[in-house]
Amino acid sequence: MFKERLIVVSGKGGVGKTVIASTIADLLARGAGPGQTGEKTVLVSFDAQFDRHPVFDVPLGYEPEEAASNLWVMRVDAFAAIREYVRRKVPFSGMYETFLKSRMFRDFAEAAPGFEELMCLGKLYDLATDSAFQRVVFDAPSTGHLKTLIDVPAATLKAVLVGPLNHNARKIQDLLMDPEKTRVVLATLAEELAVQETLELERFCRERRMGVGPVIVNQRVPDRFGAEEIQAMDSVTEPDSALAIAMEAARREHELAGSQKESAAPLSGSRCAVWNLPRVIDHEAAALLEGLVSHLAGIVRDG
Amino acid sequence: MAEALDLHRLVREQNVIVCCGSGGVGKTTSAAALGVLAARSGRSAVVMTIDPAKRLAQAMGLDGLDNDPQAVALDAPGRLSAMMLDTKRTFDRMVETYAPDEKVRETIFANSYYQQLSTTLGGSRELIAMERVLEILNTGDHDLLIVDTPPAQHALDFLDAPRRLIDLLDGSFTQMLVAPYGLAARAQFNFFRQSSVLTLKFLERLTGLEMLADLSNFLLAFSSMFEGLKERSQRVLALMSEPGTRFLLVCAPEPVSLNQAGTFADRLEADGMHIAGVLVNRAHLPVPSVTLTDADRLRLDALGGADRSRLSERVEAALGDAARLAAADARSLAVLERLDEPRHLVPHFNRDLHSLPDLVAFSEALRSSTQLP
Repeated sequence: MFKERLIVVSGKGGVGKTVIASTIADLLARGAGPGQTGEKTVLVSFDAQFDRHPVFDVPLGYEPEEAASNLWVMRVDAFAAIREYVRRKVPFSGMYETFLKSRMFRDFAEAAPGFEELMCLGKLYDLATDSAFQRVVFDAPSTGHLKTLIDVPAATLKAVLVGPLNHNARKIQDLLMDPEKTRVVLATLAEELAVQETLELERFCRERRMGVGPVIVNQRVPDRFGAEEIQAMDSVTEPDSALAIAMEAARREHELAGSQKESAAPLSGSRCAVWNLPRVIDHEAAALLEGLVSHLAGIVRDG
Repeated sequence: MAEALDLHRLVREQNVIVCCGSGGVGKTTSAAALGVLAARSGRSAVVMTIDPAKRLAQAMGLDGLDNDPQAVALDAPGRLSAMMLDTKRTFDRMVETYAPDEKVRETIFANSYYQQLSTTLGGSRELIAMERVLEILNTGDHDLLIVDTPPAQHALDFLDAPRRLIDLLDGSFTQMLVAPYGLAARAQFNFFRQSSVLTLKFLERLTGLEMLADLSNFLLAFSSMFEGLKERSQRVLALMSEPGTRFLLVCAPEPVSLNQAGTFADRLEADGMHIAGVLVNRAHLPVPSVTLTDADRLRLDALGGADRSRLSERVEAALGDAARLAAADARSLAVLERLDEPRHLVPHFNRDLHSLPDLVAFSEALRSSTQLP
């Protein structure tokens, strides 16, 4: 499906980023194309709000947890990333363990702009360059926060001219800006604000010459009716009958499909491919995922 | 089953309504529609948003939102104003107010960290939002302020922000940095010297000397505003726990969003804040369970387009989807059962809300009672 090792999935809050990132990761792990074998994949987030993965329902922590065949999930938190970094950089780091847990150090990490973010990105870098995983899918923060995150290495390079942080920021920057290695996938809904944020993020990535695309539009409703059919149904008046209730459902669906089409129209201004995923009505996460994975596989297969 | 949430009464009786929830649940639009409802109930309301929601500004007939409240041309007995939080400008103003002298002010403004502060120093944006709330209330020009909280990764940030910033400035780290690298060495920090030499060596190794020196300059200058900030943040916290301030939990009928509302409610309760209730947007309302007769199907098929599959099949598919959507929502909403907070459901609008009339329609949906599934 993608050739890059690091796939970053972002979009406006509430568009279903986690579901889309999970779908991509699962498909990569299974093997995306005909004859293509599955690759060992890890799905990573920085989001501290869940203790279990909302789609795969396995524990989320700093150690990768097997979620499906060939697929692992993990969550990177700043403290664990910093500890790992320190262990590698500083000899006899065991003696610093207490210090790392102290409030003084927490204060430092919080006050130093971008420090925690850089440490988390550092872990992502390790996973994408020097790990047993062939693919890293980053279930990234929403667009605004992701832009800040992407600019953290550059800001660090400006603020810290030499030393280990500078070195770290440099290699992370090189990874993120390399379109051979990193791709940003844009998740959206067919809603005006979500589409607008998507296009803004695309522009942001292009300005930095990052690899970007496709746009994945989540929850598209089927357009099952023609305008003339809706009109014809409007002429049937049979209040409160089963027929009226059914036709109202049809009318509302047609209305939503129309609104989605209109809201998605500005995506024609995108230079990315646009992939539409259908609305899958199921609150069982496993069934939802299965439906989306097979649909995505179809898109990839048919080009 | 929880009681119904009377939003009409809420906007008539409270002074501050804080809308909270995760991103993408219609929080900003809900805040604006509540403002419309308030103005239509005769109140003078201000809606404060943090997101640069260009479209929302346009919906309210404004070219863009400003850091000061602008009147919205709404035909109503009361008044509606809208504003967007300008973090940078409010922060600048705060520094100007609290910096003890010109030199400190200059040091802060010139420091490279100050530029990044609003996005990186944990929760400073939230602190600023609350600071601005106080400013607006102090003008006495409005009797209701509706706050649309930042779409924080951790929705609780804005409650913790004031305390965190104070803790940081008051904390041993700041004091330690201030001693060896700062603008002035202060005698009272001698106590720290021994252990701090080691610590700083360690941090230097981790980050580089320049970075520490820069950061310490900044924190030293910033900590001189400590007293003013502390006093202000205590007032913010006091305002948040007043009975005239209510928190409205805005969510979508999806498990993740609903769970987050639950977590949020627990936290607010533990902090002694007052919860207004839960507003569930984009709900799919129950569809009566009906079956078409063969005669119905024939009638529909006769209306269908010539070159398409049978219309009755497609209509029945749409009906089935509508019923399954409502059932899925109802199952998700069960998460709220343990909360026992009043709630209100707003049906899915099936379209984006573009204009002031759209907001008025939304405010009608906030006023009227909707049958819970």
